[in-house]
Amino acid sequence: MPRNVAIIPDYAALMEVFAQLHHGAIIQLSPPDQEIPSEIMPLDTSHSWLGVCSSGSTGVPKTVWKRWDALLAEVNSGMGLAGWTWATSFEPWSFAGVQVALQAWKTQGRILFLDNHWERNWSRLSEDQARAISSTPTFLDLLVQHGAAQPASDGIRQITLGGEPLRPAIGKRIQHRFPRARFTVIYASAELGVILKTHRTDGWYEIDSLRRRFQNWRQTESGALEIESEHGWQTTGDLIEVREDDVRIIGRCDDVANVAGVKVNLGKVAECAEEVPGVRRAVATAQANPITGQIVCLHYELNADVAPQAARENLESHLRQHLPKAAWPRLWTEETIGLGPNSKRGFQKSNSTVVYR
Amino acid sequence: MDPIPLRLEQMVLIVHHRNGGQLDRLDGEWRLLEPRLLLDSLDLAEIVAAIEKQWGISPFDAAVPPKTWREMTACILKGIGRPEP
Repeated sequence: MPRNVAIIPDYAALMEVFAQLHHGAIIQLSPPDQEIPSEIMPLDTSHSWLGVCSSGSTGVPKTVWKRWDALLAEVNSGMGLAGWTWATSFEPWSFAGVQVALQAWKTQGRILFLDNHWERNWSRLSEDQARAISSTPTFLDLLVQHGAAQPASDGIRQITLGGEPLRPAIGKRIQHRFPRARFTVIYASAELGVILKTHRTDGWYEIDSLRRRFQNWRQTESGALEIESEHGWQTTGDLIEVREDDVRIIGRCDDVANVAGVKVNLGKVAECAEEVPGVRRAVATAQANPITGQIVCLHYELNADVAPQAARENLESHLRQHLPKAAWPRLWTEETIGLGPNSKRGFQKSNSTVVYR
Repeated sequence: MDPIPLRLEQMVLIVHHRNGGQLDRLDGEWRLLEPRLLLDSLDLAEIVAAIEKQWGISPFDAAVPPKTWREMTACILKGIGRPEP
């Protein structure tokens, strides 16, 4: 079977690709504006294969090939899901986008793509009678921030979150906003598929969820999660924390500052900042410094009803109480924390987007 | 007093007071990590970052990096094109 490259501008194009795959095909998805390299091709051409785009563990986008029948096997096709409208913020050529589109395709549903026009999103969710939302936690938090303050009697029954770690403060807010919804939080990669799945919204997963999918896994000395697959031990590129029967994702292994020789996990700094009442979202970054090599900078966004000076003092005090001194932010910027690629958390800085994953 | 040395003194004393110190003035002849200031290298990094943010200059990029707070002031004044006092 020859390999075809399909340019995917929207979900309608992706659904057409699914129909072709069902009749036997090897198709590589491509965003409209970027060519993604595919170094390794599927060898077993007696099956249908789909090449999905991955941001890559090194930050260089690449194509990852998935067998069509294996992708279909992951889909929940319960009768209660038939004909639903699935709203999503994920790009259609990404692994997360393919997963939600497959869910809709297999259950005769449809996809509603959400962008960053928040008022329009709320109108469309209502008009299209959306039953499910699949997005990053940051995207859903922004949607909630720009919607009605009171829990609505809307028809959302299922919320699936993935693409970045779920922080407890955001989990609480969105659960309050969608009290009738069932939550599923997924940790997955294009390379390994679904790794962890839970219905909790506190950022933790049951370790059993990992064991069910991968018999052998380990935490390296530096805290990274490694998983044994058919290709041997593979790093996920993510740092984990293990607590009795639970595990949680802290952030990317390379999301670290080196402050006077001390490794500081920037995801933990931002998570600690979001524990402070009034702090809506935070991102920590590393900045070069002639004395210590690097320092930590905190970019944070406050809720609209908060006094900025008092919030800043609480924030500084909280972080100094709860973090080691090397991890204390030394530069502070109050600004809007919005979205980067594929609706992950990010903010605009000097014409380039810095993204926290 | 010139606002630049005054602002620098404020920057240093804010961190000093946060560390439990009770000084109300900065002696320009003191070395950057003078023990009486109760500053460590992490605190000094914070002050240098604040200097870079406020005046857009990097004192430690100078040919001769400052060793005392008076030299730090001189670096800032030189960096922004002001004559030294």
